[in-house]
Amino acid sequence: MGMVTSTILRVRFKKEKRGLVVYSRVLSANLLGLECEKVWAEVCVENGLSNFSIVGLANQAIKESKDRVRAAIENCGFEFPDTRITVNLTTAWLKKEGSHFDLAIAIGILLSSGMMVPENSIEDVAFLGELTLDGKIEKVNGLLPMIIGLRRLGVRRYVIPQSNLAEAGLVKDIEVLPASHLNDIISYIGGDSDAEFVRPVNSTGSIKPCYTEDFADIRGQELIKRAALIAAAGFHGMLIIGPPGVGKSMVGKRIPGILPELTYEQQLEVTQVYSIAGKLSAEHPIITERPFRSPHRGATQVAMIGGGKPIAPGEVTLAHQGVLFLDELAEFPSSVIESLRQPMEDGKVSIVRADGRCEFPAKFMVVAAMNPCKCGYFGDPEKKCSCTQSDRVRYLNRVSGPLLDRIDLHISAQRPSYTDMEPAEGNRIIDSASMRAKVIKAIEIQKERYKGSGIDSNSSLNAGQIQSYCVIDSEGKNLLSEAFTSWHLSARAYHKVIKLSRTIADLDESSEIKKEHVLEALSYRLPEKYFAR
Amino acid sequence: MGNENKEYYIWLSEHNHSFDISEAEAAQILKDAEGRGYKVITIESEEYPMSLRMIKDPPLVLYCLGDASLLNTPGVPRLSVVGTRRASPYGRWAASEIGKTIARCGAIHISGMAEGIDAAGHRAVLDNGGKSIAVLGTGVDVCFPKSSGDIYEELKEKGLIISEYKPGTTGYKSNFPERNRIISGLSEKCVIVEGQKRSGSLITANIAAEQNKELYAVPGNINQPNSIGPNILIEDGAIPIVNPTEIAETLGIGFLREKITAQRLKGLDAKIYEIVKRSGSIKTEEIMSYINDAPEKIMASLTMLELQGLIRNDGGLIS
Repeated sequence: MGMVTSTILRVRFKKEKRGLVVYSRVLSANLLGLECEKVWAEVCVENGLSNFSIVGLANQAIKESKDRVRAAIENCGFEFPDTRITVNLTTAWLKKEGSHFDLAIAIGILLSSGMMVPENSIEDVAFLGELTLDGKIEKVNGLLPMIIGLRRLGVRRYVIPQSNLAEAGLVKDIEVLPASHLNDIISYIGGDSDAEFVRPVNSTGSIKPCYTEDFADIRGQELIKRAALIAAAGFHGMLIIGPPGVGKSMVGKRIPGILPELTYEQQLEVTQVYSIAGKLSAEHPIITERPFRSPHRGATQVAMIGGGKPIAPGEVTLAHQGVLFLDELAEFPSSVIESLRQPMEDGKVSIVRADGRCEFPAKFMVVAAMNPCKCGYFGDPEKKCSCTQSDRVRYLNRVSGPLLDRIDLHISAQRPSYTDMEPAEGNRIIDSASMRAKVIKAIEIQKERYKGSGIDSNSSLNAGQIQSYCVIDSEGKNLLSEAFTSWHLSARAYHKVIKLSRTIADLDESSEIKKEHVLEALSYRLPEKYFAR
Repeated sequence: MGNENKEYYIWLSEHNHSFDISEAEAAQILKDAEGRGYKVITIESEEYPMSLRMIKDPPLVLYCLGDASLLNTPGVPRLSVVGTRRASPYGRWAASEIGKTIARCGAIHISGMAEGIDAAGHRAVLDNGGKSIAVLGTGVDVCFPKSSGDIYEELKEKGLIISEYKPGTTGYKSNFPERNRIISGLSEKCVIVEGQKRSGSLITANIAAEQNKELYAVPGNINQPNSIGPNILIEDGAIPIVNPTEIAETLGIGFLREKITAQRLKGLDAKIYEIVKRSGSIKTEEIMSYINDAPEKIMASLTMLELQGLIRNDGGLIS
């Protein structure tokens, strides 16, 4: 503990200079949603009655920072100055949230009170970290978006908690000093340690995505597998209606595994979200797998969309670039379900609060499952449904037409027969790997086609783009017009069918949409008897 | 054809007095007929349609251009669809829906090729691969009206054009009401789509009623002059066509449709149709266990069959 003693000596020496007003400032950051602002922790230590105040619209977590900082400094062997200490977090009018200001405030006090004399300049270094009472530096939520935001503002050097190191490794062109204790930083600033700012080890690709569940586990249900393949290839929403126990959730869980790997940009986006939500663990410091979120039907609107105080991302954002699985769609409160419409349309959610507004990305693939009626056996050839007509209507009406319209692919599942469960020798079973290969091929075709148009999948096509990108041959057109008139399709349903046929054609590697593609797309439409409105 | 012509020539010379034609002219007509590909059928010929023989004043001669076998089609009903030349969009829609239905059911459509309702009917039948007969008020070699030129050409190839007037006859006003008796005489059922109170369509309807044909009419708004005709017919007992999705059933030709479309099925469609019919109702997954083909093909096939009205898909349960 030689280092600590020497620091204390310096403190005694400095104490003699009391009477001066000493000012210092240390860089940190504030997050609102994914938006990051520079925040300076200004610290002023002056003569006067013992007082310690933090100003600058700090929230409760920052107010409590006082006590953590005092204890941490004392536990590092210093005597906490018994004078008037003012901490101001600039810009003062901006509301601030988070415990990561601890580190900047502590360093500011150590500098201003003269307990520490900087040998190494820290003017351009951002300090992000939470302190424990014994001076340890704890992991911070939202570190990745903070670093990304500050880097954009020109900051290149960061002091970060050791446990956040892998996250920082995703950002290019920065240097970090990972620390696990306040003393490490004190000795670096005081010039008493060999620690250096280093380029963090690039963590991109360090963790291979691993999906444990495979489509090969699902026996029979080839039609649903096919539907899942199409949905994944065009990032289309999917609704599975069927009696209990047909494997609806099994299908949903396996969809992330057939989507292509996240690109670097996508990993960055997803990891940022998980960073803010505090969902990065030591085993999963960065997110490389497609998220699979399966909120319970008791989820509130805030849990689904995001919000709260501090504003946290909701399930739709946590499912960004992945799958949002809604089991028992009809059991969700209708207000929660309806709130999904905006993110499904825009690929992001805007949360507006008195404190400000923020936006989170929310480009997810919705996979919903529901029973055809309350007892679940309507339309089942073997088991009798015990619901009355009005029961069924009430049950189905919980899901609104506009929401159903936004889900491109509808399919009904039937209970598999015994022969499906025990497949004969030599029967081909489609597995995730082969499905994924097809999906990747189809997605590449889409990327090529939509280059420079601002969209990347068939599901995001708007009416105008459908006109220019979806060329249907004359046979297909005739068929479509016939289906349109004989089944009374709505304009939105018409667009859905075209988008789906586009994806089916892409899976077929056909540049033109042909009759058979339209025919198949038309089959992913629920019979009117389910939703007779 | 040679024999047939000789017969006709003999017949013509015998009946010369009742027919405004000289022997030389008759010979000329026969010669032309041979050269230009139209056929001449007399009332005594076996090819002469039976139903036409039954009317009060049957035409003695029919000049035919196209597939004359359409005149005698046992078991396949013939339906005429007629109406005003100044058709409203509603009337044209109704005519083409009816035409489409007739084509889908494999029945035979008859009309007068006039613009408006007649033309809309012919067009719909031809577009849907059906069989159509046009009865002209001019010679078969004269396309009247000019606006129906495309229909005329197509009928020559895929349908039939007939007339009782000698080739080269241009349209006399009186010819048209006269030919209407052939339209209704040839058909089992007659559908009036639109027509004013005093119009050719109502004349056709009256003739059809006299000839004891089943009469159908498309009802319309009572303030529309074009709908007064059919509405009056309904008042007088014609059967109204009230449901646009059940035209075939109303016309009594629905039973034909399934047979016809099922006959036309090929490959996988036919295989799946057979499985569904055999089992009454069957789950999609089960169909797949019978047929070793890709699910996408089976789904496409099922949609096609559903679209043709051959099967019902109730959420994965096919019947």
